[in-house]
Order: sequence, then C-alpha cells, then structure tokens
Amino acid sequence: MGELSLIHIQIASIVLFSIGIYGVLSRRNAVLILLAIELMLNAVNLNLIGVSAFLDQSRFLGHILIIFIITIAAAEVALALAIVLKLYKEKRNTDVDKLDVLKW
Amino acid sequence: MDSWILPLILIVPVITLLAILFIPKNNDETIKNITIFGSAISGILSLYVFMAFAQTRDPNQFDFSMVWLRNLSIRLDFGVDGISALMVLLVGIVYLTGTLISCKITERIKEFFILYILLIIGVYGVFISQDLFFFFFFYELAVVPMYLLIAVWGHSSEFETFNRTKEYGALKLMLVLVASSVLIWIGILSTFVVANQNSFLFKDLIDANIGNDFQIFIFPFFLIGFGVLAGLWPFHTWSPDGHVAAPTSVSMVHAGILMKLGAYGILRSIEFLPAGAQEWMWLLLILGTINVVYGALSAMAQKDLKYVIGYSSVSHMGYVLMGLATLNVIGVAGSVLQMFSHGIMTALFFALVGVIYERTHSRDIETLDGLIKPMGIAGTLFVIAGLTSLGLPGLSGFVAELFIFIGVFQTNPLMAILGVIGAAITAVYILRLIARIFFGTVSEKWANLPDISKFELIPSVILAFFIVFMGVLPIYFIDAVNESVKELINAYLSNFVAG
Amino acid sequence: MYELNEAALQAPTNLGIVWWAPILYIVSFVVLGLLSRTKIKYTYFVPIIVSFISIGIFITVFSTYVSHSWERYSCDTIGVCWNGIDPWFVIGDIQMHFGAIIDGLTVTMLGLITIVGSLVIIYSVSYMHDDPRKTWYFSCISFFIAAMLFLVLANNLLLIYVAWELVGLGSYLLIGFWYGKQTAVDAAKKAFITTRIGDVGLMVGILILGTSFTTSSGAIGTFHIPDIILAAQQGMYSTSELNWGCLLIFLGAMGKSAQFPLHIWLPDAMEGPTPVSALIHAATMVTAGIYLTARLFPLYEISTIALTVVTVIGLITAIIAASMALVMNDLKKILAYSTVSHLGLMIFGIGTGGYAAAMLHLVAHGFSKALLFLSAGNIMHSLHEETDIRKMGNLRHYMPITTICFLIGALSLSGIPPLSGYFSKDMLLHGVTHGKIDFTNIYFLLSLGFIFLSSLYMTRVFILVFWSKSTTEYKDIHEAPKTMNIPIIILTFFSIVFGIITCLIYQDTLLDIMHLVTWGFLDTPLHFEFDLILTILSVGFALSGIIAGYFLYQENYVNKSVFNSGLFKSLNSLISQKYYLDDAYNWIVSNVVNKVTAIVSYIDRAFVNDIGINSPGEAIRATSNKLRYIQTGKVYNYALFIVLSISVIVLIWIFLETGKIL
Repeated sequence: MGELSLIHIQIASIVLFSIGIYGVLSRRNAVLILLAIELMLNAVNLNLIGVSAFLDQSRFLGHILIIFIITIAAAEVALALAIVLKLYKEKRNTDVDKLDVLKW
Repeated sequence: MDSWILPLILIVPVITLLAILFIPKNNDETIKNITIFGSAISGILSLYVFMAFAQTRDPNQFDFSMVWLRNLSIRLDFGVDGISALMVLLVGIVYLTGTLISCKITERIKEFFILYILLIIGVYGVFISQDLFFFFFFYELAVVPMYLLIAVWGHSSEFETFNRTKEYGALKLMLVLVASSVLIWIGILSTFVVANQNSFLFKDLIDANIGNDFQIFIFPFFLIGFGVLAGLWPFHTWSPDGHVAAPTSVSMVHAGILMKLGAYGILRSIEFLPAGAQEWMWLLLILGTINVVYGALSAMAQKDLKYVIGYSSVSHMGYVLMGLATLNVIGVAGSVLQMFSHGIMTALFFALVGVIYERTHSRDIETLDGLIKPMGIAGTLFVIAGLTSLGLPGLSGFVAELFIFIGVFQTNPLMAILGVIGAAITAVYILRLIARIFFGTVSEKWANLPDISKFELIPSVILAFFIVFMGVLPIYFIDAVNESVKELINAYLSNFVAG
Repeated sequence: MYELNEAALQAPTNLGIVWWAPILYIVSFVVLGLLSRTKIKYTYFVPIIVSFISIGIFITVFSTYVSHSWERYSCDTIGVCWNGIDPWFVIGDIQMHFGAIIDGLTVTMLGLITIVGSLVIIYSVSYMHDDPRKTWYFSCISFFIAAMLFLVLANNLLLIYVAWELVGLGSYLLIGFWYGKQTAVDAAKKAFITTRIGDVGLMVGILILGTSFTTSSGAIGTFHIPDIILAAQQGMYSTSELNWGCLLIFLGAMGKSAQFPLHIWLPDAMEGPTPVSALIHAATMVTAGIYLTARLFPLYEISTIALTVVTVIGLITAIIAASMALVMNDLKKILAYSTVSHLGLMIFGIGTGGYAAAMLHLVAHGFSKALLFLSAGNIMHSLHEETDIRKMGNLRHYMPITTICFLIGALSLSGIPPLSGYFSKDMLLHGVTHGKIDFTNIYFLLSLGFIFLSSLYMTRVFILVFWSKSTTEYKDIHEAPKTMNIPIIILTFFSIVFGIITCLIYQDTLLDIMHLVTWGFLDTPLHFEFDLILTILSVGFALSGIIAGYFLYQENYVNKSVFNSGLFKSLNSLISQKYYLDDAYNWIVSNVVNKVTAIVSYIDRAFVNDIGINSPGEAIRATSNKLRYIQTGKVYNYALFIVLSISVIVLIWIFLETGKIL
C-alpha cells in the first residue's frame, strides 16, 4: 500500500457523496433526507481538505472554506429540522411523498 | 421662452394628474372640473404651438434639449416641425374633446382620468420627441394604460356565433402592440449601434450615413413594428376589437391618435433609413391598398355600429400608409393631412356613437332606426362625419385623399385606381349606415330619446368645426405641412443618393 | 416641355361679379340652414332675392360677353377678375384656384341655371307652403344652385370635381328631403351611390389627364382646362392616356347624366318634391355630364374611340328610356324616363359632332321639361299627391292653364315647329346626317325612331291625363294658385320663343354664343339651316307619333287583341320591368356585394384573426398546458432533476476542457 495521497481521500469523498445522493433521492422520511444532505456536505468538506492539504500548502484555502461550510450546514440543519417539526405537527407523518400540494 | 413650451405641454398633464391623485375618490365633480381645466390648457397650448409654427415655419423654434443619461447617450430632446406641430394640435383637440365626453362615466372616475392622462402624456411625448429613445419610451407609455382602460371601463360584445369580451379586446391589443414594439426596439438598438454616433437623436442618425445593406435589412423591423400600430394588414385585427371594447373617449384616442403614432413612426424612420425605405415601400403600398379595400368591404358587412367605424378606421389608415409609401412630396403631404383629418373625423364618429349607445344601449344596426327624429343634432353631426369619411369636397377628408390619389397615381396607377374604388365603397357603406340608423320611420322605443347634451355637444361641435374648417380653408394646414414634408423628402433623396 | 398658358386674356374686370352668384347662394344656404330649426316665417324671401340678383348677374355677364365679340375669358386667379385672393390650396407645385372660364358654353348654362332656379324657387314657395321643414328645403336648394354654378364656371378639373360632388350632395339632401319615407331615403342613397360609381371614373380620368406630362415650371401637370386642351392638341398626351382619360371622364358623365346603364337612379329620384325634380332632374344636375363632355369636347375629338362610345351609349340610352316611358303609369316616372331619353339624345348629339345642337337642345329641353314637371306638380297638388295616370283624365276641364302649358311643353319636346324643341332636334339630325340624307345610316334611322317614340309617349301622357274620360271621381279639384302658375307660364313662354329667337331672328349672333373659338371641329353645324327634307322627315315622324298615340290611347286600340298577344305582350312585360335592370342591380347587390363583404368579414374574423393572430397565443397556451406537468410537487423529482442536470453540465464541461469524456 503506498502513501496516503490525494486520490485516496477523493475516492472516499466520492463514495460518501454518492451514498449521500442515494440517500436524498431514495428516502421517504424527511429527517433521513436531511441526514443524507449532511453526509453530502461532509463529503465535500473531505474533498476540500484533501485538495487543500496536498495541493495548496501555501494558503490552505480549503481549510478556510470548510469552516464556512460547517457553520452554514449547522445553521441550515437547524432551520430545516424546525420546518420538518412543524410539518410533522400538521400532518402527523414525515413522508415526503405526501408533500405534493405545490404542483400543477 | 419658446423652448419651454414643449416641456410645458408635457408638464401640464402631469400636474393635472398629480392634482387628481391627491383628491379623494368620491369628489367626482372636482375631478372632472380639474381634468377639463387641464385639458383646456393643453388644448390651448397645442393650438398655440401649431399656429406659431404656421407663422414662422421654423423647425428649430421650439427646440429644447438636455442631457438625460450621459453614459447611454440619451438626451431629452424636444422639437417640432410641420408634421409634428399638426399632430400636436390633433392631440390637443382630441384630449380636450375626449375629456368632455368622458364626463358621462360614473364609476371609478379618478382612476379613469389618471390612466387617460397617462395615455395623453405618452402620445404628446411621441410627437415632440427628437430623441429615438424617448420616442420609444413615450410610445410604450401610450400603449400600457390602454389595457386597463379597456378591460375595466369597456364594453363587451356578444354575437350569435362568437364572443368578444372586453378583456379579450384589451389583452389582444396590449399583446399585439407590445409584440410589435419588440420589433421596433430591436430596430432602434441595432440602428444605434450600427450608426456609431453615440446618440439617439434623429438628426445625428440621419447624418450617420448607415450602410445600405444594413438599412435594407433593418427597415422591415420598423415597417412592421410601426405598421402594426398603424393597422397594417394583416396585423390589423387588434384594432376593430380594441375600438369596440373601449369606452368612448378611449376609442377616440385610440383611433384618432394611437394609430397615427404608427404612421408617424414609419415617417420618421424613412428619414434615417432612406435606402431601406426605398427598397421596401412597394410592400407598404400594396398592403396599404389592401387595407383600404379590405377594410371598406369588411365594414360593409358589420352589424354592430362600432365595428363599422372600427373597420372604417382600418380602411382610412390604409390611405395614410399608401400616401407614405409614395415617397413623394404630394403623397406624403396628403398622408399627413389624412392623419389629422381622419383623427378628427373618427373622434367625432366615436363621440356620436357613444352618444347613441348611451341613449339606446344598443349598437345593433338592424334595430336602430329613424334616430334623426329624436336626435336631430347628433344625426346632423354624424352625417357630417360620414360625408368626410367618403371624401366629400368641402370637408377635410377630400383634400387629404386628393393629395394621396395624385401622389399614388404617379407611383403606381393601379393602386390609385383601387384607392378611388375604395372611396366609392366607403360611400356605399356609410350611406347605408346613415340611412339605416337615422332615416326612415322611427320606431316606438327610440321616439322619445333625449338629444345630445351640452357636455357632448361642445366636443362634437369643436370636432366638426375643425373638419369643416380644414375642408373649406385647407391652405393653412397645407402650408404648414408642405415645407416640412418637402424638407423630409429632399433629405431622403439626398441621403439616399449619397449613402 | 409644354409651355403653360400663363397669359390669360385681359378680362374686363366687371366679369368678376360672376362669382357673386354662387357666393350669394352659399350665403343663403348658410343663413337658412342656421334658421332651419326655428319657426321664422317668410325665410323664402332670401333665396328669391338671391335668385333675382343672380339673374341680374347673368344678364350683365351676358351683355358684357356679347359686346366683346365672343372672345373667351379665363379668369385664372380670382385676382384677374377680382382682387387678389390666394389659391384655395397648393398641391406640390400645382395651384388650385377658384378660376372661371367665361365663354359661350358658360353663359348658356348660367342663364339656364339662374332662370330655371329662380322660377323653381318661386314655385316652391307655394308648393312647399305646408311643409314644416321648408326653410331647410330652401337652404338645400340654395346650396344646390350654388354648387351647380361653381361647376359651370370652373376652369380647372379639380374645381369641377369639387362642385360635381357637392351637386351630388345637394341632390342627395333634396331627394331624401322627406326622410321619414323609406322609399325616399333609399332613392337618395341609390342616387348618390350610382353617381359615385361614375365618379370613380371621373376622378381617375382627371388624374390621368392632369398628371401625364410635366410642365415647364416643373409641376407634375396641370388641371387647368384650357391648358389641357391645348396640350392635347399639341400631342402631349399619348393615345392611350387620352383615350382612357376621356372614357373614364365620360363614365362620370354617364353617372351624373343618367346614361345607360347608370340611369337607374333617376326614376327613383322622383321621390323628392316635384320642384326638385324640375330643377335637378330636368334642367341642371343631369346636364352636368353633358356640360362636362361639351367642355372637354376638343379632347373627345382627338380620341375617336371615346367619341364612338359616347355616341353609342347616348343612342342606346335614348331609345331604351323612350321605350320605358311608353309603358310607365306614374306621371313623374314617365317624365323621368323621358328626361333620361332626351339626355341620351344630347349625348348622342355631342358624339356625332352636333356640339352646338346638343347645347341648344339642353336649354330647350331644360325649359320644356321643367315646365312639364311643374305642371305635374300642379296636378299632384290638386289631386292630393296622386301620380298614377290611369286614375287621371279629363283634367282639361278643371285645370285649363296647366293643360295648355303642358301641351306646349309636350309639343316642344316632340319637335313640332315653331317650338324650341323642333329647332334643336333638327340641328341634331343635321349633325347626324351632315347634310345628306342617307337611309343606310343607322344613327339617322334610330334618331327618327326616337322622334316617333318621344312624340308617342308624350301623346299618351297628354291623352290619359288631360283628354280622355276619367275613371275616378274628382273631389275638390281646382286650378293651381297663381304663384304656381306664373313660373309655368314663364317657362312656356321661353319654350315657345327660345328656339325662334336663337335660330331665326338672332341666328348669327346668338348661335355664335355656343361656338368655341375654333378648335378644328368635325364639320359640325353651328347654325340652324332649314333643310326641307329633313324638316319634313322629323316633323312627319313626330306627327305620326301623335296620330298613333291618339288612335292607340284615345280610341283605345291598345286593348285590341293584336296588341295583347305574342310579341307585343312579351315586349311589354320586358319593358315594364325596366328591362329587369333594377332587378339585376338588386340581385348584384344582395348576392354579389353582400356576399363578398360577408366573406371578407368572415375571413377577417376566422382566418386573419382567429387563426393568424390568436393562434400563437393559443399555441403558447397549449404548450404551457402540457409543460406544467413538470411541476409534480414531489421533492425527490426535483432533487433527481438537479442531480442529473449537474452531472450533465459537469460532463460537458470536462469534455470541452479536455476533449474526452471522463
């Protein structure tokens, strides 16, 4: 096994990202979709760290960017969970399939 | 001092508008009085502009210019020459008379007058602009209020096999006119870029010597774009439906002024696109002639009084377009005179139709009968308007049509003959209409209608006065217009030769 | 390049007063028009005074003209005759002035219009006495006479067109005067529309003649009649231009002067008050076409096709209308068809070159026919608006003055010497035959036939109305009042003496009135020459018509079986149905015109609008109707869509950057 290089990290990132996409597209439970979105965000973070560590050692821009991303992810999840909670109170279930009022 | 008159012509309606805006909704009388007062002042100013111009014949007399947006080279530039001065007079007259006629409207009169004044501001602006950007700006401003005016205060029509609701009429008018202004806007922008003068002013564009190929390519945009507003066949169908659906004073402005905007636009674009004009004028001539004959034939078949007048407008605008297409002094002068004459005449028609409708609540030709007995004065005025429409000498229509016939005859005798035949067809349907509605035995239900009232009489008499005045003493109008047209054609000829 | 004839002969300034005649009539029109809704009495004095003044003007102009030995005066700008008024308007470089030509033709027409006009006005005072709208009536008559005067004075074609249309308007207002009657309204409309159709030809003809060559001053042409005539003679017009111009102008004349097939309006025009018929449809408006053709005669001389058309149409009109006059039963309609017939004769006369003869007949007919119409007015007045001659008879016992006057008018029109009609008919025949009697000349034969027919129908009318036993009881019938009889008597006087004066006594001088300064005519008779054989033939045919009429109608041979079967019967029904012309026109109107306009209107709505303009809108609406299903409302659809799109975009980006997928 060689050194840990960028490609390993990126493969891990891709795998996580795919799992996240799969989760978003196939889950019916709203909370689980949010979970998957979190996974995607973290996958992206991983990618950025890898690129930044291996390729941008002068300025570490990626490291700086993930701080923003983590913060925003946290805020967004808070908001999203609040909405899901309200929805649950209204509809008594978290099934995304049943949310289709805003249609043609 | 003189250079402030033109901005004043725009400012007076704006002030009237603001004054109305601040009056609470239910003071109908005050609103009407203020609007009438404002329109009277505008009318007097327009008359002054025309008469002063007729005295001095100086196209630079009223010039007013200031920079608007330096980066985009847009200037606020006003000026009149003979043609615009006559049109300004037309707007003044129709504005005043339209306002007086509108005093019969009872609901939401404040909004009505606000929109109406916006419309008038737009129309005034088009005729006095010397800057192509503001020309277009005011042009659009004139179109937008039409939608609301027709959709809210208009009348719907029902026929046996189809319906024409006022919403339909308003929507169609709005969309067709906006679509055509897209064409115009493309034309304007591309001309601006190609001319490379960094200015939208007419005179700069004329001096720019745009290349012939581009001119030939871009001219149809202007031709069709402005032509649609002028009621060019086959894009004219917005016009009859729009006329019919609109309330009386809006119809007066619509037929009397709005359609002339289109012709005026074509006229101005001939100035800075001479080669293009030369290349495409045959099309305008043919389509204009089709307008005349087709419009007249359609008018003959209509059963609704307002539709007859609407198609008659399409037909008469055909004469205007034919005259423009001749590109010689006589034809174009005739076209300008016809713009004025038809504007006044059709305003009178619609005013009287409004009077009739308001009394009888019917526009059906088959049921209206013998109206001259109860409504003698209205009938007489209607006959005067009708005789103008068929080109009887002694009324304004004759002079204009004569010029157009002579001008067109020199370009293409066949079209002139069709135009003369069109005048004969006009005689047929107008006389039929008058005979059916006014003469004959009066039936019970119409026998006791009130005749024309003061508010309707004054505008109708003003309009009739201008018709007769221009018919009997046309020299005042012809002189004012003739020189400007001569200059335009000379510029066209020399520009074309050089460029 | 053609030199404009700028130098008008220096006219004696007092000829300028000729313009006061129409202007005073216009003043009368405006004043009476404004007063028409009031109840002021005695308003009719205004037109009466104006008419006397205009007769005075005519006499002045006439004597000035006579004393200056027949030179033509063209008052080009009013400035020459009056004092400096600007042109009415300017077209390009053409100035249109109110200019006048004063020559024999003008003076003749001037006399006819002013004299008959004033007589009709005087007659109308009592005829229209009970009508509540009589002020408006006099207003319209003033307007009409003013327009007619403008027409005959005009020296340029545009002014003639203007006056022509205004005359048409006057006729419309007067025919449709009793607007409550649907028939009157329809008749007025028909008159205006039929003449309008002719006017298309007139306008196009004027355009052709006016713009076919450029003048030395660079103008596109000229509408000034003397210049046009001179230009034609100098060959400035191509043959086709001249032919078309003349033919089309004649089309206008056909409309106004009721030539076949545009004659259909004239019989219907009898719906108007009878004095109107006397003025407009006997003496003035219908003569406008003849006047115009005569005025432009030099052009027709050059364009032989046009001249032939003129001749043939005139003759056809004359014969057909005479045949219709024979079978009508309405007194005024008979007189109307008789007018059409005589107008045809005048046109025919011009066509064969009998220019002066046609004008002589125009005046003679004007007096005689006006006389006949006014007598008819008398009869209608007494019989309470009855016009069916089968219900009349024996009126000579009740209305002797009317009878005598009517008789003289009828004899004059039949061509019995020494009344005026004889002289003019004889001159016409002279023009047709050019002095040699040639029985193979079809024109000559048909003219003789015409003379027979015209005296036949005149006799019929006279017998049925005045002579034979009446079938109805007359209540309360009396001779007409003096104000109605005096004009008739004056007209009778003119009918008697006019011919004698112009042709025998003052032959050399007065007949030269109608002589245009030489244009180089076909050999046309300008003097009345007494030709025994011709006289015998014409008078003979006329007398045989009278005798035949007597036998047919007084002795009632008409009911003999030979006249009631076969050819005569079908001929009778053909003619009584007016050759089915009216039916043909009605059919054309309802089937062709109405259908065409309905089709155009339908095309406009269904095709141009619904398909052309509405369909883009409809198409967009239909498309968005389908497209809206993309909004399924389900979140994962949207998410899938986002993912897929981004993948595609990224792949494309990579492809463009590196040239290969992945």
